Amino acid sequence: MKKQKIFIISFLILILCMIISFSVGRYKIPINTIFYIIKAKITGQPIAEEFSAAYTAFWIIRVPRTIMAVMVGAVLGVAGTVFQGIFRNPLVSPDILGISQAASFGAGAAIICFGYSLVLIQSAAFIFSLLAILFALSIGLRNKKNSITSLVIAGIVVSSLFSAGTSILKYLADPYSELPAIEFWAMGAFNKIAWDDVMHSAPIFIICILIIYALRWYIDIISLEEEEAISLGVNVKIMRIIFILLSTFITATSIAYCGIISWISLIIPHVGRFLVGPEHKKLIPFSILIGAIFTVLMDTMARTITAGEIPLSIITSCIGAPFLGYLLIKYNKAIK
Amino acid sequence: MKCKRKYKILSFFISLIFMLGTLSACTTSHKTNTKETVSPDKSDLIICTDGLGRKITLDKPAEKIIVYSPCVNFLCALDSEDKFLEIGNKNTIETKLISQLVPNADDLYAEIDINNSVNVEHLISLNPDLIILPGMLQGDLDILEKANLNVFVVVGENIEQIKDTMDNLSIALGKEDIGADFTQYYDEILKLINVRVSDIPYEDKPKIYFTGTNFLTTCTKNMFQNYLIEYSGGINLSSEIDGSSWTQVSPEQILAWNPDIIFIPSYGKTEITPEEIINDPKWKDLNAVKNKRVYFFPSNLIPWDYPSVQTILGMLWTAKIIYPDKFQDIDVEQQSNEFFEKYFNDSFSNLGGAISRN
Repeated sequence: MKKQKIFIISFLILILCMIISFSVGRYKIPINTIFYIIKAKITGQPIAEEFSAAYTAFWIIRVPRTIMAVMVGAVLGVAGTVFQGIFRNPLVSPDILGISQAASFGAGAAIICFGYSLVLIQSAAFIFSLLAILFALSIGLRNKKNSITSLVIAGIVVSSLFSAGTSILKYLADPYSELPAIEFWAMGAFNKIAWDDVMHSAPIFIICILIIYALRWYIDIISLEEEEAISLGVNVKIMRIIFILLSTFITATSIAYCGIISWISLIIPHVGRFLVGPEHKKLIPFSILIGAIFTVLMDTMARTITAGEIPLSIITSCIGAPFLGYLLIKYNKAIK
Repeated sequence: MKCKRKYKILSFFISLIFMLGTLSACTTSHKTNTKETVSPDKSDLIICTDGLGRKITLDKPAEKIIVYSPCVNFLCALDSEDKFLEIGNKNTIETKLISQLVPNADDLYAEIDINNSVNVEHLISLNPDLIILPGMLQGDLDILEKANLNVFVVVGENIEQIKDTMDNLSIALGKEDIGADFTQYYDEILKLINVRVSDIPYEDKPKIYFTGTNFLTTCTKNMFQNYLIEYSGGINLSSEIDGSSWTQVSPEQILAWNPDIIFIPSYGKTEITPEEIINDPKWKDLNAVKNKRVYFFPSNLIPWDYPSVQTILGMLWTAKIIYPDKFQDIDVEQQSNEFFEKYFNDSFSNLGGAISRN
């Protein structure tokens, strides 16, 4: 009962955050104008000439961006929770498994080799992150006895290799034309998001999240001892691979559109556990909500504080790291 | 069995140590006699000051030079193409021009592209008289000084610094006449621009947005592009952003700024073209788009907007784009031909240069 309340409250907070995100920005739009635009949009009226720029700022730029931030936040939160659940390790996230580093390497390589074709950058980011998780799986699952730790170590190997690769790319990149692009990619931003990005990525995000949501019961079973899980009739290996592939897929897609946004997938599961406990049945929907809230808030700050766009990862780290520390202290006290 | 393996490992290490020993012997034999010859007459010494205000003392004009991009154009303007030992990277914003001005350029590029640091031992082995280092690489200055190498750091984020650089480099290379001529040329053009734009009130100046390698990237307050726009009588919209490298902005910010003129630089793998911006429904409300004032910043041969020798042409071009009426009598094309003829020994159009990129 109490948990349902928290769920409803978080949902309301998410709606509130979206409204805040819709209404603030560097282009000042009076609230009346926003209502006018929404009304015109619903009734299908043409926009008056004087509001044309406000319409562009609101409907073409701000709204898709906010929606993307919600989706990516949900995706990162869920991916982190899934990874931490199936590896029974609160330190795991797509960064640890090398997915993020590989995606950023892929994007950087595409920038240097092919220039600024967004399609190529995105596909390279995606292909490399799939490669990374394949590497990590094939190295990590060799050790049948202790596949969980060895998978994490394999992930660390892969992520170090790819971040070294990114460093080489930065070393070779032309400081005038290529380096800024690579660096910004590695720190994440929503400023290039438009409606077609939202339309292309939404089906992927929604379908994968729905599948994870439907299968969320299994995470609790997987996170039991392996023998126990097998005795319950669950094919641990296959379920684990399904979860890994789904989470990788959505993480890579999000990176392909917005670059690496660090911390979210690590911190959100902790916040969720603090609020609703370790049961994945509840934790999964919560991490979706909290991830979305956190990311929308961070992105709103990133685009409004200064005239320049602050790379998102800087803000998420600055706020995320102390927050996680605070939670840990509180958490420990609660346990005592 | 175990014992054998131990020996194997031990012998491996011993051979490793030997290899290292011979290697270091090799490098020491390459080491050249450091210049400790005390010049008997002090008046023979050449003293110049680099962009960081460091005094550099040479006993004769530098004959063997190592230079890193994007500073090669300074040396070419000083008629020193024959003095290069190495000219840094192969793919830079000045490569197109350099490959035409320096006949043996292909042999002079460093083996691998260096953007972030230099290899001191390699530089010592080349035994240069002078190393010319762009400000970006000044992190390596310390170790180069300790290695007893003469280093000239180029800092050019405004016109005065560019003039100073040319002036001091001309001393170091024994080409003082070119340096003096250059300063005079710059002063003339600067005055020409300043006289015509300085009395324009702030409200009448057009707001300019200078894009970087993509449309959502722009220059910041301490960059040369900012200086260039402001000197030429425009308002650089992104000057409110502190910093000295490119930064990202949100599309909303560009709408809020509502630029009157947009410049797109010619370097980088820029995919955007003025036509694309003009036809993009997202930008249709910008003044620059309504009035079709979106331009490629020249030139196709070498960019005119970054701190370099030919930058003065960029300032002249900008001033003319902003105030076509006030600069009606100025033919930038002709001016650039003369400038290139004067400092690069061939006219701009002969070298394949064109102001508008199509």
